[in-house]
Amino acid sequence: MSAASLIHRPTLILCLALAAACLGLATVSLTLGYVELGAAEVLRGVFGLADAPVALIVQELRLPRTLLALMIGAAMGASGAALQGLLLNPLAEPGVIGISASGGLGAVLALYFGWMSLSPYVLPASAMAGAGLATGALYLLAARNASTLTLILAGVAIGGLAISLTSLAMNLSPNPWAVSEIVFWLMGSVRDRTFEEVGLAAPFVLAGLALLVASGSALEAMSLGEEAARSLGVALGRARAQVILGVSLAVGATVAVAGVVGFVGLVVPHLLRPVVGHAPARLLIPSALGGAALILAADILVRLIAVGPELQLGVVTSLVGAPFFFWLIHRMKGRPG
Amino acid sequence: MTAGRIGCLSVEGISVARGARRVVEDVSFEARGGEVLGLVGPNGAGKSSLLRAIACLVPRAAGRARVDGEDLAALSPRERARRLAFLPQGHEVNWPISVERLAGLGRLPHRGPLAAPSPADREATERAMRRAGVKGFRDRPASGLSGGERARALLARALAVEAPMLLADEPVASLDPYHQLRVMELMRETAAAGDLVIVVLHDLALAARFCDRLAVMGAGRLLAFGPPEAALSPDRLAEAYRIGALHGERDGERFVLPWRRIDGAERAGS
Repeated sequence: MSAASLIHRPTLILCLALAAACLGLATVSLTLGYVELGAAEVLRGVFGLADAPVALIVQELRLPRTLLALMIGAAMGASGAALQGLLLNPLAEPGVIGISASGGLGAVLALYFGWMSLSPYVLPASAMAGAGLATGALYLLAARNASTLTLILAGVAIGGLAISLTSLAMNLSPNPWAVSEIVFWLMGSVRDRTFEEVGLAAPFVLAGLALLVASGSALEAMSLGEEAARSLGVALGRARAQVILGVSLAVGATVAVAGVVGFVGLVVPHLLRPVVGHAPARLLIPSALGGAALILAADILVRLIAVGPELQLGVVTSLVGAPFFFWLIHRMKGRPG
Repeated sequence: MTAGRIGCLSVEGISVARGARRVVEDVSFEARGGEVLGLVGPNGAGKSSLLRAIACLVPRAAGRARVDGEDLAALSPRERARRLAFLPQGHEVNWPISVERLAGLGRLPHRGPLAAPSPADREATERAMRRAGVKGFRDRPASGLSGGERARALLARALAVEAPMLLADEPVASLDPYHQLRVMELMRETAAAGDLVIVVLHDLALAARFCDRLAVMGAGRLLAFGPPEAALSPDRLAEAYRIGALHGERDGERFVLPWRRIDGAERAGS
């Protein structure tokens, strides 16, 4: 038996193709903006080989946006795949089950109470705490033999609570300008971001992704049920905490800098699952790459569609994702719980 | 698989509580490598709870299980998983992963959380699939299998662990007679290689024929422990199951066929 046969070939090809798509889309994303730049010029700019103004535009203005799109997509894609594995439910997704909204609430509270003056990291920390509380609560509410419906309802309840508390904060806000700022930011966008935001989110997103990818074999064992997983030496409590923490870090950090970008974690794992043979462990990395590609593409789209004010990224993903969600529910109707 | 990988499992005073109720009460016995031990008894006798308690999958109210002197509960989960393969009762598979992938999960205790399966893992998985007779549909998704096929795919998963102890909770429950015999023969082969097999059974005919010794349970207690002819004597069957059975022998092998119910009055009068 050769070493090559130990790697699942379709998964490997999928990963390479998605990585190539990410690179291509990232390049396209960098060429878009007020100043027209070609792909070659942009790439030289990224590596500091272009003229100073071009390098400045590419590195300071465009690269943060592209990097954030990559990070958000990877965070959402991997979180969706991991949550679906943890909750044994193909409809689990940070946006659908209220984790993103709770992260948003955490961020809004940090903005509202001015905690940000303590440290810039309070914003992502607060968003991650919100996302973590929601994920933990959801797990406690719905993890024990929960049907698909129970889980989604629990998620809807948590999301509804987070949204209403966010509204309350805005309602009580003495500053109308701050309210419109919050509303706009909650819609989700990577526009006009700087390396400051990238630096704020990146460590947490990377740590979150590492935790999620490392949980792969535990998630796969969990597909056999709790008992079988434990009999295979999986420390269930630790594995669950690892996934919840990973999702909280990844989702919270991206929500803190880019608002809520929904449905990516639903669509991407669902489309990729058949390619990787439905194996939860194999799904994580392709979902991260696929999510990154999808968000990059969506962010390119919002800049190409000229409809007066630029469309918000989160609005576009929801417009595409919500019908997909309906279709998924429709397809699952025939299946038990 | 080398002979004598396990010497002796000693179960010492294990009790399991569910809420205030003791579902297993002070059970002790010793089992040896190379034998098939059947765990039998009526519904609710505590067979599954005892099996889970031995595998450290449910908390024990008292007692311990030692393998060659070593307390199983003191081992790390991974180390324990390498010593003891557990086949649960349900046939849960939540994603339509392939039979091969499913069987390969049995190798998890042998590799790191991020490591890919080694050639040795592959070979063990192949062996397990061959023994469980699932190679013919190795690429099919687990969700598309019949009940019997799925039970065998999950058995392949347990065999792939290649642990010196196999604990199986009703492994023949949803199988047709052909595959029931086949799985029981497989249990015998596994034991013949030196492993200890503990199997929960409802079918007394299979228990009498394929098990070296039987532990008969009733209401959480161990009622009898010994070779089938003693453990399934008419008195024992009446006491544990409230049934009478036909006992016989064919080709040098013994069989027990449950025949009639015994209700309270009849028993008191007999």
